[in-house]
Amino acid sequence: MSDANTAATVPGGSLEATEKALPRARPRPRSHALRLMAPAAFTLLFVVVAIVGPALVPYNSVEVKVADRLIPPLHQTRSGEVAWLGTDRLGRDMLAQVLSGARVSLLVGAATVLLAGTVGTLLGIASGYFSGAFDNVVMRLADVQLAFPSILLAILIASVMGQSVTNVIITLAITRWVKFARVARSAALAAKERDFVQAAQALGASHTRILLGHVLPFTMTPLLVIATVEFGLVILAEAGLSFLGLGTPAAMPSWGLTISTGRDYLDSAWWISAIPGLALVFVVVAVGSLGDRLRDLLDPHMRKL
Amino acid sequence: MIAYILRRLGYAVFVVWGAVTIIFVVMRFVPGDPALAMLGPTATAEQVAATRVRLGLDRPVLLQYSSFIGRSLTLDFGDSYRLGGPAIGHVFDRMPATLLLALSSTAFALLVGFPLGVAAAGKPGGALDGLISRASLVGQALPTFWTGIMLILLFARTLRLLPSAGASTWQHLVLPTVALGLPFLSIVVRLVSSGLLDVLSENYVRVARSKGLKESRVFYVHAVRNMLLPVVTVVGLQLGTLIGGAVIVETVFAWPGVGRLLIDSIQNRDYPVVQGATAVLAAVFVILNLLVDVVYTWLDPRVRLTGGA
Repeated sequence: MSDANTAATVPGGSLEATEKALPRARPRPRSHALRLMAPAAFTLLFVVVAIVGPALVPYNSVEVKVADRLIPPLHQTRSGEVAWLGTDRLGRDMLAQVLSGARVSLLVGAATVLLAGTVGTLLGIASGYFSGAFDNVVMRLADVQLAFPSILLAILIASVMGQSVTNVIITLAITRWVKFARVARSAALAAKERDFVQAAQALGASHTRILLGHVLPFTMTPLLVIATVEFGLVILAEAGLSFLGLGTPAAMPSWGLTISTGRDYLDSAWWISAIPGLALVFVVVAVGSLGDRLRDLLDPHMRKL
Repeated sequence: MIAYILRRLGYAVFVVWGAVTIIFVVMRFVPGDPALAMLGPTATAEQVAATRVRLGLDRPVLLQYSSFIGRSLTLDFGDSYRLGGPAIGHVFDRMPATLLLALSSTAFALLVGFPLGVAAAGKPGGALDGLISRASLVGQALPTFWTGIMLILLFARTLRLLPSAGASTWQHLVLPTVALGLPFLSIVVRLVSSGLLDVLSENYVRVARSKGLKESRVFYVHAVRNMLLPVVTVVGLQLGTLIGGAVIVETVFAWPGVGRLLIDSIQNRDYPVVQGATAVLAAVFVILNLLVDVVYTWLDPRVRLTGGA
C-alpha cells in the first residue's frame, strides 16, 4: 500500500486484505440480511421524515410569538395547540424546527457524499488503474490531507468561506474525498488484475471505457459501505460546524445551530438543546449501524478499514 | 529499528510541510484583503498599500509561498491582530491546557474502557455483554458538543456538583474529559471485547492453558499483549478525532486551550493566530502518530522486519 501511515500502523494491513477479499463471493449468512432490517428501517424513517416532515409542520424562522416563548414539551400554546416538543426563545415550535433540521442534515449529508464520492471515486479508480506518477500525486495529496484531523481542516476552510449550505457541502466534501479515493483505488488495483479487464484491454477498449464500464462497477460494493458510513459522519460534522457558527446560516435551523442557541437557556428550557441532539444521535446511530451491517453482509474483510 | 524510525520521521516532516502548504492555500481564499482585515475599516488607502508591501502581498504568489514556508520553519506566523505579540506565543500559552485535556480523556477512555471491555468479553452473548455493546454503539455516535451541554445540564445546573466553565481547579477538568472521552471510550470497549474473544480462541492461548498456567498469567502475558495491537492502532487513528473534538469541547466548557483560541481567532478574523494554531495542532497530531508507530514497533517486532511502509 502506498500509504505509509496506515500501512505502518496496520501491518499486514486491512487495505491489502480488502484487495484480496474483493473478488471472492462469500456465502451470506441469512442473519446478516435480517440484522440489516432495523437500522435500514430507521434510516428510511429519517429520510422520509426529512422530506415530508417540513411540508406537514412548516417552520418559519422569522415568526415571533413572544407570548408562546419557552413552552415546555407537551404543553399548550396560547392558541390552544399542543407544542409537542415545546417552543424556543421566540415562541417558535421546536417540532417544526427539528423537522426542518432533519431536512438540512439530509441535504448536506447526501450532497456531500455525492460530491466527495464522485470526485474521490474517479480519482481513486484512475489512480489505481494507471498507477505511476498520477497515482503518486493523488495518494501523496491524500496522505498530506490526513495530516489534518478532518474537523480541523473543515474549521479552517469554513472560517474563510462564509456561512451557507453550499459552502458547508464544499467544505465537508474537501475533507471527505480521501476515504472514497483510497477504497476505490484498492478496488481498482484488484480489478486491474482480473480477466475481464485484461480481456477488455486486449480487445482494444479505450481507457475511459474500461474505467467506467469495467473497473467502476467493480468498486461499487465497498464504496456503498463507505458512502453509508460517511453519510453519518458528514451529518455529525455539519452539526459540529454549525454549532461553532461556521456552518449553515442563522435562518436555517440546523440541529447543531439549535443546540448552540439552547445553551443560553439551560436553566429555563432544557429541551431546546436536548431534543435536536437526541434526533442527531438517533440518526447517526441508525446510519452508523446500517453501515456496519452492510459491511458485514457485503464484505466482512473491510471490518478494520 | 533506527532506520524505520528515521523513515517515519522523514515522512512526518513531509506531512507537516503539506499541512503548512494547505494552510497557505486556504488562507489565499480569505475574503477581502488581509491588510484591510488587519488594519480595520478606518484605514486609509495609503496605510493599506503600505501594509500590503510590508506583508509582501504585492509580490508573486510563489515568492509569498517560499517566504511563508521559511517563516513557518521558525514558527513565525506574524503578530496577532487582536492580542498583539507573536501569534505562536499565544498558541504555546494555550498548549498545556489542550494537552492536559487530551491526555485526561485518553486516560479516562482507556482506564474505564478496558475493564468494561474485559467484562463484556467474560460472558459473550450475556446480558452484560449486550448492554455494554449497545451502549458503546450509541457512545460512538455521541456528538461531543451535545454530550458536553447535557453534562452541564445534569451535573452543573441540576445537581450542582461540578463547575461548567473555566479551568481553575481539578473539578473543572471532569466534565470536559468525560464529554471528549466518551466516544473514544466506546471504541476502546468494542475493541477490547472483540479483540479478547479473538485472542482467547487462538492456539497459543490453548497451549498456555494446557501447560497448566494460571488463568491470570494466560490472560496478562498471552492474551492482553496480542490484543493491545489493534487498540494501539485505533488509539493512533483516534488522535485526530480527539484533537478535533478538543476544539469543540473547549468551546463548550470555556476551557482555555488552543481549540478555543482557534475558534475565538476565527470569529475575530485574527488570521495569524488561526494559522499558528492550525499548524501547531496538525504538528501535534503528526508527532503523536509518530509516537504510536514507535510504540507499535515495540509491541509487535514483526513491523520492524517488514518495515511497514
